[in-house]
Amino acid sequence: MAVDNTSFQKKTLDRINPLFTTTTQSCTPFASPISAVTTELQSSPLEKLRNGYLKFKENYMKDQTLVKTLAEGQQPPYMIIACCDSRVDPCTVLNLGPGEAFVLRNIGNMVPPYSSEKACSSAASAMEFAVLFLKVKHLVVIGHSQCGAVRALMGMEDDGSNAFSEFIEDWVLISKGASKKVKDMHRSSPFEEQCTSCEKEVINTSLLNCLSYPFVRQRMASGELTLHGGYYDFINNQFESWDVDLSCTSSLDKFQ
Amino acid sequence: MESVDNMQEKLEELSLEANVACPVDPFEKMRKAFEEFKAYFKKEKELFDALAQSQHPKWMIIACSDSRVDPALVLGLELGEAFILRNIASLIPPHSKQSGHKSGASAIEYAVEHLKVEHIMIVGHSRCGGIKALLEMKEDGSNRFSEYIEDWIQIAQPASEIAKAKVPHDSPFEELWTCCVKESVNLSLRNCMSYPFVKIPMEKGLLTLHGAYFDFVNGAFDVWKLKCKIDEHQSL
Repeated sequence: MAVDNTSFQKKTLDRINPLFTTTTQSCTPFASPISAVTTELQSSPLEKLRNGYLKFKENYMKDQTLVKTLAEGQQPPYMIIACCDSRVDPCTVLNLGPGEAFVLRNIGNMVPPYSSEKACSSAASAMEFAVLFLKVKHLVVIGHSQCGAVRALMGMEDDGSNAFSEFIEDWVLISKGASKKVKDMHRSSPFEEQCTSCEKEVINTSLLNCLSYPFVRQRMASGELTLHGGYYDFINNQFESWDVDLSCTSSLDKFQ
Repeated sequence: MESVDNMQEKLEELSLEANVACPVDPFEKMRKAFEEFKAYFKKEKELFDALAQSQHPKWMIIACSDSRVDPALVLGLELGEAFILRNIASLIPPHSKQSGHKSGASAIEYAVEHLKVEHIMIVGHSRCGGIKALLEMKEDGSNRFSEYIEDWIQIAQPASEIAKAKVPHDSPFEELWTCCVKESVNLSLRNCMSYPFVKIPMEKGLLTLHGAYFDFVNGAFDVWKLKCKIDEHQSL
């Protein structure tokens, strides 16, 4: 269905008409607002995307070596699992260019645990491809502040009495262990603080669930893959990262 | 020849030692990048203060996980503009009451019902490995190579059938591949419509569905809309 601009135009005209009727000043002060409005009216929602693409294309096509290399295949060193949230695009925040990161995004940056049951899983298939076929060196799960999915998880009543969605709650329950842990450990903290703690616990839950996949463990054990957590706090403009250490202690207790 | 081989070996030994002595930190690049981003964040304080409160993206974009097709990069999107779902081959399964983790359905439900996005765009791309694997799958499963990948890309099986019927048998594989990617985008768009929370705003004109194909080999980006119109009744 075509985008209907009529109601938008009417709202905009309603906004600018009073400016003409109530002022006795010349039209000049209104020249820029009118031209801005006219530009808004003329540009379709796709126009901005088009301009964005043309700028990208101009830069991208200049580097023909990169274009030819990427046309043949991809060898990204990173796989990133991040949230769909519009404020946390990982390539933008971490300045990653084409070919650098294979990216899975879902709500709450969640990874379901390994299951041998036949399952149609976007996370499992993406990890399998990245780890076994692209042979990425680093698997990074990135969470963030003000995560709506985590907030929904933390707000769920145990008896499901305040269920509000068809799919969202089933999805976020992947990380129910994280919310239970936070509620037990931070019983007296305000809800907002609990949500922040849960955002970080969810990242750890996702990392542990990544580890439940045999192909992830195997490549970690052989030293070919490392797992990392990342937390992007856009309130305070900070980014924390941490590694997952899967190693055995070198000393051996002897039972004697 | 021997001395060249010896030299090669020596070079390899030295570089190994160098790596052990000063291991390259995989996060160094990211750390530096974030420092630059922090500076940009400070500069655009008003924008980020607003984003800290809430997000109001007008777009939901569904794109492939492929490292070459990051939609924010390719479309020059600023933070806050698009809610982005990414999986192998940008697939959306049809609405189903069967249990199972529904990453696509939950993301679309959140974007449409809670964020009230006005547009959903599904972006396919050239040289998509997921679609290639789909086209090469044998019906009897005799060339199965993965535990999860084939089960996932099977979502697009109807698109593979359409593409194989459309493209002449003697055409180069690239043509079938391109056609199948575009048909897969169309299939995912139609599957989106099978969700009541998508269908209802679409019918009211509050939500538009778009398909797109990003060709990074030739530097092209095509877009199209999903139109659903019920024609006027005609008496026979």
